[in-house]
Amino acid sequence: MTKFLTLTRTEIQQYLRRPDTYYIIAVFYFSCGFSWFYIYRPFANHQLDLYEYFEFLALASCVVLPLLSQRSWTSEFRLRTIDVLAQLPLSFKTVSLAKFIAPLLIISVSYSFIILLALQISLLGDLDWGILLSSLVGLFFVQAIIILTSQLIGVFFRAPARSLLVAILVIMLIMYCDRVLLNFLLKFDISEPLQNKIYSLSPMFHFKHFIGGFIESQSIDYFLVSSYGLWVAIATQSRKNL
Amino acid sequence: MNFVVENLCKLNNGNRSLDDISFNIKNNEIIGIKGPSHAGKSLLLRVLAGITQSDFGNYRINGESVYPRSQKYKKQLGYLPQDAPIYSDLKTSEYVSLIATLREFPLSSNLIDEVKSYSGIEKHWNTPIHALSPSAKKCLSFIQCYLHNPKIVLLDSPFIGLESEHKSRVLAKILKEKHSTATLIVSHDTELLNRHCDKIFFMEDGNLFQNENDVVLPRGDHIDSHLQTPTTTL
Repeated sequence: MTKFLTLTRTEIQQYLRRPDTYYIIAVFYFSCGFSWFYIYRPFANHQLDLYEYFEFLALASCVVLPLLSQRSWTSEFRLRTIDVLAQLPLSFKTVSLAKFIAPLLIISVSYSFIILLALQISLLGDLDWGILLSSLVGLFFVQAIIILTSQLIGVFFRAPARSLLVAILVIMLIMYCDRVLLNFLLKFDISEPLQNKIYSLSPMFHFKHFIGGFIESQSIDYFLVSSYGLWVAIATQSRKNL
Repeated sequence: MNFVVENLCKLNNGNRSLDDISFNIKNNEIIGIKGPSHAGKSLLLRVLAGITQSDFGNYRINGESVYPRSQKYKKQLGYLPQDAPIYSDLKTSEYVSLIATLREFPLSSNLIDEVKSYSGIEKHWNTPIHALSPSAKKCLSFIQCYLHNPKIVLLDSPFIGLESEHKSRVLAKILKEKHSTATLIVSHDTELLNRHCDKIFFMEDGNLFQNENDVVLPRGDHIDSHLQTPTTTL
C-alpha cells in the first residue's frame, strides 16, 4: 500500500508540475461550456439542465484525457525509465494502478468547475442535485474507461503523436460504437432485444443512464468490469513489452 | 554469498541471443564483462535484473533457487541500466526518497549524506534532476543501486559519460561496497576492468568466454558449433 501511495503521489506531482496539465483542463471546461451555451443554447430552448453539458464533457474527454494521461506510459518506454521501475521489488499491477489513479484524481478534483456552474444555475431555478450527483458519478466512470483505454494504447507505442492519434480514434469508436454498429445493422432486419444488446456495448449508453439520473447496477457492473479488464491488460502488456 | 547462474538461454526469433551461459559470482568479487557492441552484454544484465525474461536457466543464491522476477530476488539486487534512465521531472531528493520507499528501505540522515557525497550532488539536493549535468544524473542513477545494501550489483557501462571527478567517486563506491556485494560490471573500459576486476569475461554473439582468445570462430559458424559444445562453466 505504501508503494502504491508513493507512486501515485509522485505521478500526481509530475502532472501538477507540467504546465500543459492546467492548459488542457482549462481548454476542456472552456470548450464544453462554450459548446453547451452556443450549440445547445439552453436559454433559447427554455430548458436549463446539464444533460447536454455532460454529453459535451464525455465527448471532449475522448480527446482531452488521452492528451493528459497517455504519455505517462509512452514516455516510460521511450526514455527507458521503465527499467528503473522493473528492477524494483514492485508489481506492475501497482505501477499501472498508480498511473491510472493519478490522472483520474486530478480530473475528478476539477469537477469543482462543474459544481460551480451548477451553483450558478441553481440561482436561476430549482436544480435537481440528485441528477447532478449521478451525472458526476457517470462522468467519473466514463473518464476512468477513457484513461485506461488511452494508457493501454500508450503501452504499445513509443511515438507519442502516433499513439495519441490512435488512442483518440479508438476511444471515439468505442464510445460511439453503438451508433456505428446500429447504423450498419439497421440495414438488416434485427430484433429489438439484439438492438438493446448492441446499445449496451457502448460506454455512452450507460453514461446516458447516469446523466438521466438512473444509477443502474448493470451500468456500474459494466464500468467496473471494463475498468478491471483494461487495468489487468495494461499491467500484463507493459510487462511483456520490457 | 554465492550467486550461481546455470544454462541461461534467451531466444530471439529462433536465434540464441544468450547461449547457454553459466557462471558464478561470490561475495567480495568484482566480475567484468567486455565484448563488442550487440554481443549480448546488456541483455545478460537485463535478464539477471529480472527485466527481460530468459527462456531457460537456473539461478541460485547460496544454493537456494530464485526466480529473477520475484520480489524476494529483486530486494537483493541493485541494477544500473545502460544510459542510466532517470525521472527528470523530480527533484534529486524526491528521486532518492522515491527509490528508497519503493525499495522498502528507510532513508536515514547518514544514508542521505552518503548519497550526497558519492553522487556529488551536495549543492543540488533540491534541484530538479533535469537541471543537473548528464554526469551528475548518471551518478545519481548509479547511487540508487546501493541505497538498500544489495547483495548483487549489476552495472551496465557505469563509467560512460562521467566526468573524471564523478568517475572516481563511482569507482570509490564500487570498491567500498566490494566486501559485502557480488558485482558484475559491463564496460568497454578494458584498462579499468583489468585494474579492478577479479575476473574478466569476454562476450560475443551471446556466448560468454573466460578468455578473449577463446573466440576463434568466424561469425557465420559460431552459433551452431557452440550449440554442440558443453556449457561454458566459468
